[in-house]
Amino acid sequence: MAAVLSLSPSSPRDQNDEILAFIAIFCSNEKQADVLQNLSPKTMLWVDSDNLRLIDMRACSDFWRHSARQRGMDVSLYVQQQISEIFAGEDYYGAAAFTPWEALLLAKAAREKGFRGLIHFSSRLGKNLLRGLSWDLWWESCGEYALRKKIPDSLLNKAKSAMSIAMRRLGCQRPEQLRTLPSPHIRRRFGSLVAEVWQLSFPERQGLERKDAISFFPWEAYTTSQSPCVKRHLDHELREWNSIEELLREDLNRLCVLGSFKKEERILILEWRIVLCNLQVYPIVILFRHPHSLHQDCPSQRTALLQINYAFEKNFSLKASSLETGLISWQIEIMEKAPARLRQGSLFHESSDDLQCLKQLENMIKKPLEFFTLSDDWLAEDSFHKEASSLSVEASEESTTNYLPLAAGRPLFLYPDAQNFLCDQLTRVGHFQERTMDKWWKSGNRSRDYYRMTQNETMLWVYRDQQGSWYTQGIYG
Amino acid sequence: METNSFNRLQELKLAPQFNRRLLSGLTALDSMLDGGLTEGELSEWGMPWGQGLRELMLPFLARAQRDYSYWVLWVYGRQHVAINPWAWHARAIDLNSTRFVYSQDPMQELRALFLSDFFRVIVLDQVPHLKEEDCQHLARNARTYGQSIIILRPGLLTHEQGNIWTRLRLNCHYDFESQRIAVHVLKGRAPRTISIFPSDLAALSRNIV
Repeated sequence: MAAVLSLSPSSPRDQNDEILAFIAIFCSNEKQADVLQNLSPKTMLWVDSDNLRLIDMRACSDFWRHSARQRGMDVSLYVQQQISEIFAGEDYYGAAAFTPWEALLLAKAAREKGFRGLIHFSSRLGKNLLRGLSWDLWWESCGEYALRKKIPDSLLNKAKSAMSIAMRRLGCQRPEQLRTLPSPHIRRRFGSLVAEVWQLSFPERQGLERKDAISFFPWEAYTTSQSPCVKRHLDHELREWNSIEELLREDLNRLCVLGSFKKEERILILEWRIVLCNLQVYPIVILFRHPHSLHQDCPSQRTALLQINYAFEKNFSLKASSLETGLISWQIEIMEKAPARLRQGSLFHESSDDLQCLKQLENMIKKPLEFFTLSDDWLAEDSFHKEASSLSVEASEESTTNYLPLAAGRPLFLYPDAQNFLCDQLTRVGHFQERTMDKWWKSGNRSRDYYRMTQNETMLWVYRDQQGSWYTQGIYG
Repeated sequence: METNSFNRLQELKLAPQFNRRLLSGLTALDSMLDGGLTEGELSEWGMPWGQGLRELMLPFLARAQRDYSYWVLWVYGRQHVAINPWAWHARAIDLNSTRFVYSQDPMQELRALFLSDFFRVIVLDQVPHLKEEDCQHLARNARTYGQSIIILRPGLLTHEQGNIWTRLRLNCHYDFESQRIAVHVLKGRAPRTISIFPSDLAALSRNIV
């Protein structure tokens, strides 16, 4: 099984991220199901009777990648190890795939054929299982999809009988045999429900992009218990942030002592639902860039109050002044939280290392900090990735030094889009810098000749394409 | 690592002594600055945009990262430009311990970063609307948290438009005829002008890399 799951060491980093996007797993034990939430705060119970659970690993992919790298392990193997620990050596049926629907179908197929463990969509076994998926399983999943979408049974039954007859006549024994059949044709003959499921089942063949296949899926977040929440009814209406802040601080500290909010849990999304004098209700959503511990920030609650202040100023302060009204009550509710890890102590280790400090700081500021990792690409505009998360801090170490001499002559600043460069009498053509192959399969241009031009005492990084057109791509700041 | 004492200083309300100096590695520049930029101080540099003058700052940052493992924050206020990370990397900047942020109002949008000793070198590049009281605030924070805050202005500084809160004020410009960078001290050190060849900067980066 390890061989099935293992990735090639040379797999690109992006591919590793995607590989872990969704996990479908059968889990009938409630306790284990709760612990499965430790893998990611975003989970879903697909079918009650089947206890089939979906886990959206994207929410914590940076964390898992970071942890796996620290242990020198492949991220897929590391996650598989975590799942095995959760099931304490018991057998389970599970699947990992790029989209939730593919994960779901694969998990069902694995259970039907009796293949235990976590099966990867890209593995040979995974591909074979999906190829051999029976019409019965496919229709069963289709029925569950219809149930989620609240589509009447009659529509499904009608489509099913029509399609079953057609497939029998065609001699088509498995859905995979007709994977190239375009979904518009399916829609025309058997209705939109079947067409939707058809697209989700064969996204690549149907030209459905992965992100669309994910957004298309009827995801419904699973919550184990009631969200922690506190309410406040004011004696007088409040308008000034200073007076609001003091009371909010008290309320955030009240949240920390609620039984439904554990000390180890971290908040991701908070909702501050305010009620105005005219009884209008405004929900203000406060997003944290990194999972934040209210307990650790007690009693000052500086981080949360800063974020609430930013959100308040952005969403509400203008409305409040225009309506000339104040706040009379509010409710603070934790909408999304990262659960406590039962097996590994804390999910977000509270060590005093630099990354932890940086994450705390990033939660306190209004603008996200930019962090860049390098990629081995010769074109300046494609030679880096802009990262949002501090957890990816070690990524740039992977880059090689092949482009250092090239980069030494390039400017510190780029224009987001290359602009047409117009020569005038004040333009001085500087030194030729480099000749670089363009990505002709994308742009049609085969090479670029770069020069350092001076125009109005400004040094620009300019290139000429094969057609002789000039473009400014950067500036020597 | 010293940067781990995040916010501890704020709790103690103590202003410790910071005696380190940030060196560029360029002998002429370091001697003009009497041994480099002093920690805990605010400095202001007149640097016209588009003359490659910002490269003059990078040796200070690279050495601070290499010698003291400092985290560096580069705040840029100019719109419609983006960072070219490979070029920074080639000039010996460690991208792992560097963060960039576009902000036109860092005093509001990034307040918490100035109230901690996490980023020990902060460059405010062409940030508009940086008022006198902002400079006062920055100078106090720099002193308290041992930060080296460097303000880069998009034009040349003058004596008429002074700044009482900065200990050091310099002007830089690129002489297109002689193809040299000229650096002139306005305040904080003995008035002098030096010239630096861009090739010296490039050689210095290669040495640090």
